[in-house]
Amino acid sequence: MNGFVGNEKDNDPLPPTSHITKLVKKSLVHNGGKIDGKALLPRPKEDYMSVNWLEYDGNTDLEVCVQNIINIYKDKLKVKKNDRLPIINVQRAIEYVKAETDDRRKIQILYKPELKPDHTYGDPSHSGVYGYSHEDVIIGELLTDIVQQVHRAENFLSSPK
Amino acid sequence: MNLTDVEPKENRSISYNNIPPSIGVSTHLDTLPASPQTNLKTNYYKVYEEENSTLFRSLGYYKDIEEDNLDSHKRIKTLVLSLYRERPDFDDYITPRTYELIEDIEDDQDTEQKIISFESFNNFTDFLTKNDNLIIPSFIVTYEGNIRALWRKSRIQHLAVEFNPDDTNTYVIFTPNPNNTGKVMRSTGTIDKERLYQVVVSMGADEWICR
Repeated sequence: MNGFVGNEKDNDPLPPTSHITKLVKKSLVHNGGKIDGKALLPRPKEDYMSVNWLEYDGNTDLEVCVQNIINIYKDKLKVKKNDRLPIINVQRAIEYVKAETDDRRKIQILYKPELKPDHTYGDPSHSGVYGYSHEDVIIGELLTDIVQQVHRAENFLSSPK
Repeated sequence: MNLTDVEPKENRSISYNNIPPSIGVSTHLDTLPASPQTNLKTNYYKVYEEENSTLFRSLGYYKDIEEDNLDSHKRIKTLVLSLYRERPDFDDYITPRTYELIEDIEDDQDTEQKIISFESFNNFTDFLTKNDNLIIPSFIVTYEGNIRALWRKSRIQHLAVEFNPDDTNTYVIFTPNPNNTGKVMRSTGTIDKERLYQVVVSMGADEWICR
């Protein structure tokens, strides 16, 4: 595995210029490709939204990064061809949510790599968006506004690991 | 609503202007209970044989079969077809989209994804039927199995409503502030569907979610 960007450690904020994504099921995607705000909220029993840091290995080509993330997903999730991967810039997310919420909410996007029992990385891209809950539905809707790109999983499923 | 004006275009798996053959009249029998038990349903089947699909959609039929132990998706399919007489425009989008979502979820086999709640779907279509001046919204299914509808004209003309089975519906509205040009009002809350439209009107959102 390549070294991480800036050698980020567990709980470090992600670099502002980098990007996050997550796997969104087709049933949470509107016709026309709009990701529903509910897809960008933490689940009820979670205190953060699980995401993946696209540039975790130092690569900055977003197409290559998405392929890397899909390869990680293949090991831990059932990825279907119609699933989507929305891409959001870290700094834009933090600033937009702060600017557009009444309480000037400060979300944080922190690095949370998943370790296997043998202390190797199960998901070296895993990160979390902190500072809001599943009840903050306005923030979920705001995050959908700043999705830069939406990729279809099927475009990346056929590539070998 | 035309989301494609503001969102990236993607290939659609279904054309919503043409109902796929898989949900056409010829397969309506699929949605009926296999063995009608009551007189009403027996009579219904006779009518079905005589009149074919037109009367299948007769209003109120679904209320009777609610009592049966049909699974939620079968009940939803029957409900959406039964609404045809009252809202024939549902066939342009609501019906095929519903079938598409049912198929997605049944194929998914994700233990975290619940099947679509009949009660949630019923609240959703009831809201649309009672407020027939509304633009037909886009909609998705949450992990909890609830219908979540979206009316969106722009970033500041945005209404999302999650229809919960117990009619405690969660809404989010972004709408222009009439007293402060260029500013947006954002509001969220939980309300029953009977009063949801009043909230929409009070926020001025009826100007852009109605035909």
